[in-house]
Amino acid sequence: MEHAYQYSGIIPFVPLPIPILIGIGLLLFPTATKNLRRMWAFPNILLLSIVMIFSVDLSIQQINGSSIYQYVWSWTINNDFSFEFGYFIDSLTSIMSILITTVGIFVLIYSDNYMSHDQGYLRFFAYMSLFNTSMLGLVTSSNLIQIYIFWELVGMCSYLLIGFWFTRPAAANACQKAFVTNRIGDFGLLLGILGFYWITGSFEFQDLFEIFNNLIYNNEVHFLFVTLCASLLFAGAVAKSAQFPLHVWLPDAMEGPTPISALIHAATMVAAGIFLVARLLPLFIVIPYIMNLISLIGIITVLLGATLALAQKDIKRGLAYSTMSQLGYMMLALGMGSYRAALFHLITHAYSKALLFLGSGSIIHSMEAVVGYSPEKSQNMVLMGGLRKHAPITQIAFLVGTLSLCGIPPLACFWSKDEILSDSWLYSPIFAIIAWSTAGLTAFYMFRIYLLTFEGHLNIHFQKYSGKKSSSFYSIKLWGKEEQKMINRNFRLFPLLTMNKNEKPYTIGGNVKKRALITNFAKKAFSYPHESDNTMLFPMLILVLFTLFVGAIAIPLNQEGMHLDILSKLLTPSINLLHKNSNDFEDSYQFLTNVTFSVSIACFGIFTAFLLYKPFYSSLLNLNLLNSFAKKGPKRIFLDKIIYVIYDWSYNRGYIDTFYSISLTKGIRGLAELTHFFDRRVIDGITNGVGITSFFVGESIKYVGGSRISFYLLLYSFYVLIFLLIYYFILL
Amino acid sequence: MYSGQIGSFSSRDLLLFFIMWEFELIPVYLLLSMWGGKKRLYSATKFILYTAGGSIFLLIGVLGIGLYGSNEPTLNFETLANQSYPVALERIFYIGFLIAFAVKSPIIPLHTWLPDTHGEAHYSTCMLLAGILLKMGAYGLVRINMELLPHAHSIFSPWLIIVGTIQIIYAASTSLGQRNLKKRIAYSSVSHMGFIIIGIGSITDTGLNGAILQIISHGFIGAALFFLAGTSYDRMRLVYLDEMGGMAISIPKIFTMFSILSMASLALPGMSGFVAELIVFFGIITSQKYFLMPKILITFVMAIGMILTPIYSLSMSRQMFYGYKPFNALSSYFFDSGPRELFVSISIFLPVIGIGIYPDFVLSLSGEKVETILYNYFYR
Repeated sequence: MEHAYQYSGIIPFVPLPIPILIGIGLLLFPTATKNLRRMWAFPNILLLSIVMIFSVDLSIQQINGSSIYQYVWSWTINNDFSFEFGYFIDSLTSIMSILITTVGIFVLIYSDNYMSHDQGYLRFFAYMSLFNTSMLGLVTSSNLIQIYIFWELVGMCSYLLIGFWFTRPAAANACQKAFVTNRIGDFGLLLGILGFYWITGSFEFQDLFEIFNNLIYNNEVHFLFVTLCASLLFAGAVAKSAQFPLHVWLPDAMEGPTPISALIHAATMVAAGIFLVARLLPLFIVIPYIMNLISLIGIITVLLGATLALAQKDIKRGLAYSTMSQLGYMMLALGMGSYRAALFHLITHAYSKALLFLGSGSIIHSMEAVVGYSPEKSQNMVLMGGLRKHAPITQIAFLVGTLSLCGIPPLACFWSKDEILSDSWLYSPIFAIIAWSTAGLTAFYMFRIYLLTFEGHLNIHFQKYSGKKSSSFYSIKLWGKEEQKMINRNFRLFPLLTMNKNEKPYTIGGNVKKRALITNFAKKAFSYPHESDNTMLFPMLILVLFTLFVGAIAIPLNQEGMHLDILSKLLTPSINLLHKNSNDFEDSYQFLTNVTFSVSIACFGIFTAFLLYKPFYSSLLNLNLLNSFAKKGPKRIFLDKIIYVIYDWSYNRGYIDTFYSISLTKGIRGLAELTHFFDRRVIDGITNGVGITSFFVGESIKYVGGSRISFYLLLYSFYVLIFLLIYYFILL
Repeated sequence: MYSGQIGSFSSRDLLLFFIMWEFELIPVYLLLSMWGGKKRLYSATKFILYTAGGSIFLLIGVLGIGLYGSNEPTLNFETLANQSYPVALERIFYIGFLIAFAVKSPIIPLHTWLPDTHGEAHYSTCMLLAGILLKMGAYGLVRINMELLPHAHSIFSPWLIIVGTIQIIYAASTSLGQRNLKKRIAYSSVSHMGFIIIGIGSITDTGLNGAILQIISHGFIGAALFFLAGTSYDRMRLVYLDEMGGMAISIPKIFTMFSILSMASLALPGMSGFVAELIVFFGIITSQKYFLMPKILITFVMAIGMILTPIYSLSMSRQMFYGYKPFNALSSYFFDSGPRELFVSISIFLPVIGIGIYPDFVLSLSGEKVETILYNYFYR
């Protein structure tokens, strides 16, 4: 038993050899390494599964007797300062490491197929293992400095992976945006760490909490300063988990390959912020304003993410905003102090969202063959539809994920979300109302994505007909930018976004020929998207199982009259602000009412989505009905206006990106220009001025000199005269 | 040139230090004026005038220190270190030395020779300049200003810190405005010098250790960045960033090394730059000399510099490598880095990551000396 703990320090370093080897191989022996190709994937997966077994073992031990184990060795020793490295195993760590490794393994298996035609296959796997290493390092780290180090490394991996297809300008911009936004968070994190170091003189979590509690107890710290430091620490979490003011990078991060979006931007890395807040919760709890701040940020993000997800065309962006909204739920739960619910939602959401992303990746993969290799086409939901017939297994998996995220009872997210929602009633009714209504919104936008993708007919073919017939019949309700040009408003059916025909196709590595072939093929005949390979379906199915049954870990197990479930066993020593008396599900009546309420809201959302985004052919049949709706009078027009405003807001991403780009980017550019100008004109100008004046002085002296002997004689006699005069005066 | 530099680093004697200091100007001047861009003569002249102007102050300082107090001129470091001066005189000496070193390791108002020189020079010259020459100024600051003139240093150190913070922000934002690739790297190295100055100014063990680490790590990183910029310039024949783009496909190895090293330059953990900056931060935080508010302000501003750094370095690598651009005419010139270039960049990169992972390599060496230097401040 002890051995497992003793050697758990190697957890993060197990997957490390792979990126090192691949990196060296690619730099020094590129051809030999590239020939091996698929061979590299196997040790990758193998090492990660070793870690998974290891962490499962650890967590079983945590369940049996939840102890905190810490081991530390020093990194740098000096007289004044010493940094220590170590690992810190508790229930939180074990949960997170299981999560990372399981999702990681499935994503690796999946991406073996997904990326198999890409030139950067090996690079991809190297980055992935590096990411796994640093993420595992993050969750096992024992002090704040170590967290900061791995935090940055994770950010770097995400930067590399977003910019994986570096030939796309959009990806290049997105990865820089992600890195800089994260760096702003890191800035806060570093300052917060330094501030707390200044207050307590320690980085170790346990020492930190202890000293800090003592200080608070004795009222020895400056309150404002502490609050400032804590909110700075929280800023790090805000950036990493894409909370409200710093969320802008997450949707853009979808430029990366889809497995990356599944692993990093849905399941693990964005959960790092939640992890950090959960880890430091003992610290935050003693500072009351911080908890309010956390829950406020959480609720803003919940609402914002949900509204922004409403009108995204790109399937992955839609999912990204929904991720953001769900992360907001977790943050809200943490801010309310219900640690357990937040972590539970973290787990369930990670599995469901990874499933959704893998599903969308499978869709994109099959659509790519039909519409061409450009993210504007293959990820565009306008062109999808009717994929149910062509990709049935993907459809089932996606449906399960969608239902789970909507909070339909037997699936995973239902349990956790319900817990958060019922906790929010205890916290504050206003927050609760917002959270409830957002649950409805969640159901709405998730089903919008689902219906647009899988139901109806494949819209890409309709698009080709639509040139001949009148466009109104073949429009689909997707609120896009073209809405202003809309003619047939009374149908409340908006014209299809016309594809930009002369748009430059982006090439991915050496796939140019193949892509050209395929697009030609697609133009000749109506090719239908096909189901993905088994290697891609297998991890999706496993994740479906996870999504189905992960919720069970929190279902109370009635054993020996004790109402205890696995999760609360894991997290018993942790904090529960709201439930003072331990058993959450004691009051089964309250539970039941909550359940019915939340499920009904979710069903309402789903129903609305069905009404609006009904499969295309049926909406044709019901056109008269819709017409009659539309002609109901001025009230309808008003409603239309409201809807229009909402969708405009949502489509333009709440104008926040625009605001940032105007205020910050322009500001920084302006500053750069200003300093550049200052540097060039003023500081350099002084130097050059000195040079030029010395030049002129030299020239004038040369001119004065002129190499005429008479002039020299004149000068000489002049000076002699002056000296004589002075001498004369002094003598007088 | 090497003999000049090694001589000035190793000399235990002020006069020898001065002679070596002057001596290494000559080869650098020749290197600058022979190889380089179009405006190389301008920049070489600027360089020599700047540094010669700084050297006057150095000479004043050296002679003043040497002639003070005893009938025979003493120029040995060790005897001088134990000498004490009247405050006013010490201040004058201090200012003299400071100006000399500020020219060499560019401190903010005196830095303009650096971007010009780096922008024009050939890349191997740039490597020498960034890697070694800039470090002489910082070395001189530690060696002479801190060791010989401790009282004046403790008086001037707040100003040093303020100048350092301004320098970090100022140079980082100026770097953003540059279009020339090498100038951008040059300004980034000016910005990194700010950390050294802050570390020297915070009179703590930690801060000084950090400054020394930063000297070493920036020597490696800056040199490697100039090297890679130069090698890619050899292939592109383009200097301005906005004309570049899409090189990543044709030269993947240089791309890899460049992105790794720009990460190192923005202080990614695991690289030496991070350790150095972190230790400098701790030096400021634990420094007992300053009050709370200035400390908070200074760390805040330094951390803003931390945000600006990735903006310029990443956008640099984005503009150079990312994107897509068809090369029609140039394609015949394009070949990836050969084993020689790869060897150079990897051998520079190894110490960077080595120090980053295990900083005790350097700290165990520097720690003792740092303590003896700082001993003067607290026990005298």
